[in-house]
Amino acid sequence: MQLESWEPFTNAVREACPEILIQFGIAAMGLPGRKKIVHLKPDMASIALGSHDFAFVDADLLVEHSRQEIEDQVRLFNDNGVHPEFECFNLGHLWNLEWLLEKDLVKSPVVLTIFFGWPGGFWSPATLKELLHRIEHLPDNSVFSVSAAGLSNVALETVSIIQGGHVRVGTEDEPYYTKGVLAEDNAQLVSRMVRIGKELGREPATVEETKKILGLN
Amino acid sequence: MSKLMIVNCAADTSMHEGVEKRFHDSEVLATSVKKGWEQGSCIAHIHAPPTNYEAWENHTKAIRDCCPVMLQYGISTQTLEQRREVVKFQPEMMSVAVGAHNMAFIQGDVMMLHPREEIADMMKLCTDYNVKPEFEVFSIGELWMINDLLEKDLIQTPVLMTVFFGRPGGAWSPATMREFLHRVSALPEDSIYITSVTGNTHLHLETMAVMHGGHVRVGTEDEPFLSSGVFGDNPEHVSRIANVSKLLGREIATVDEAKAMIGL
Repeated sequence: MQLESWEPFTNAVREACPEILIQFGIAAMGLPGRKKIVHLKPDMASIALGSHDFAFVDADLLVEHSRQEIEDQVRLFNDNGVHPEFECFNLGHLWNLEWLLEKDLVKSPVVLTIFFGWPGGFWSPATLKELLHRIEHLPDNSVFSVSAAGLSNVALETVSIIQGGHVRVGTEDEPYYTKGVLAEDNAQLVSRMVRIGKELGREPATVEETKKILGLN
Repeated sequence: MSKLMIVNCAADTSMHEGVEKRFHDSEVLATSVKKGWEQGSCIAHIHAPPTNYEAWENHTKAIRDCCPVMLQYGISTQTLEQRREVVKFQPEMMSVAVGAHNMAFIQGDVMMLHPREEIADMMKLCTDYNVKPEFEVFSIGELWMINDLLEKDLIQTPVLMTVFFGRPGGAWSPATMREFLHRVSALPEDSIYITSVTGNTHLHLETMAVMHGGHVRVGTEDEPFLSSGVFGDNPEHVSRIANVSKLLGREIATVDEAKAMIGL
């Protein structure tokens, strides 16, 4: 996506749905690009806690993320009132996060998305065993959402709900509703999670409630 | 489970403060490697400055002259071209990173990407020179890459890998029993794994590897302390884990036995 697109996209979302929190998915973007769009004031934006090592359908995506770069990204977000959403693909990324916490660069709660089943050197099995293993190692003060590629995503999201976590669904992560059946749209994927959450005794958070949970201003 | 346990000794260099670095002097290195071999190690994981090809040749000759250990070139950060220059000295194995380097070493962070095309070229180099790739596995994600190589028929089984624990940086994993079992249970069936641990729990994980049918890499590169505050040189690390292994009913593989197991 071109940098110029971020402004009209942001405006269009704000007009259609003024309250929803916007999270810029810019984990692979370098500092210069971030500096150009941070003024759009998304509520959150992504920061990768380790080098990108993906095998996407169109091409592999490899991007280095040094500690210095991660630190600079966090500082930029802190200075501009953007809450970082940290991407965690494996336990090694928690080492980098711990380093940020020790430097007092990250405020509590830490907002994390933990990923499963994405192809490439970043892969982890989209299994309950892997999910429970990862969750056990997260910092105490973290708020995590689970994102899983593959049809086991429903099981992983459900365990996340049970374990006090949160969920990320959508056509980016796993576009199939069931085997061989594409989801009609994102709404269908979201509503299934809402139903499961309610059945399990957890109501979906409103925007205002989410702001409190995530520690957003 | 294999009845024999392979001991790899990473003898020469260190990422730890105050520990002797030996890779600038072939004789010093060879002496250290030989002492490890006398205690039971059958592989020497060694280094030299990446573009000092003469040093690689001299190290190799010096070690070959004094003991029969297999050589594993620790060149996971070396480029394809640098590998071409050293593979002709015919090590039995060379290290291959199948995930991005993301390490916080004392001398500075080491960051490096490893595209699949580059890995594929390295596999071809290994095949051409009859060198066994030793894959570095810091997280389960690297198993996706190994599986990709298997599916493309670029490598032969048994897959040889070193599973790492406790190395600082974005490639870190906890050096705990739990992480050990989690990782090892995810390995491909036909694989030979050698466990390398940094931190004061290293003996625990190495012992787990002994019990679990794995193999062990020890030495001053990985973790120089035998226990808290007690420095140990390579022969002491090798002999301790060899004793543990024997007590637990696994004899130590000789060089020839290990070659047969690895498929060399």
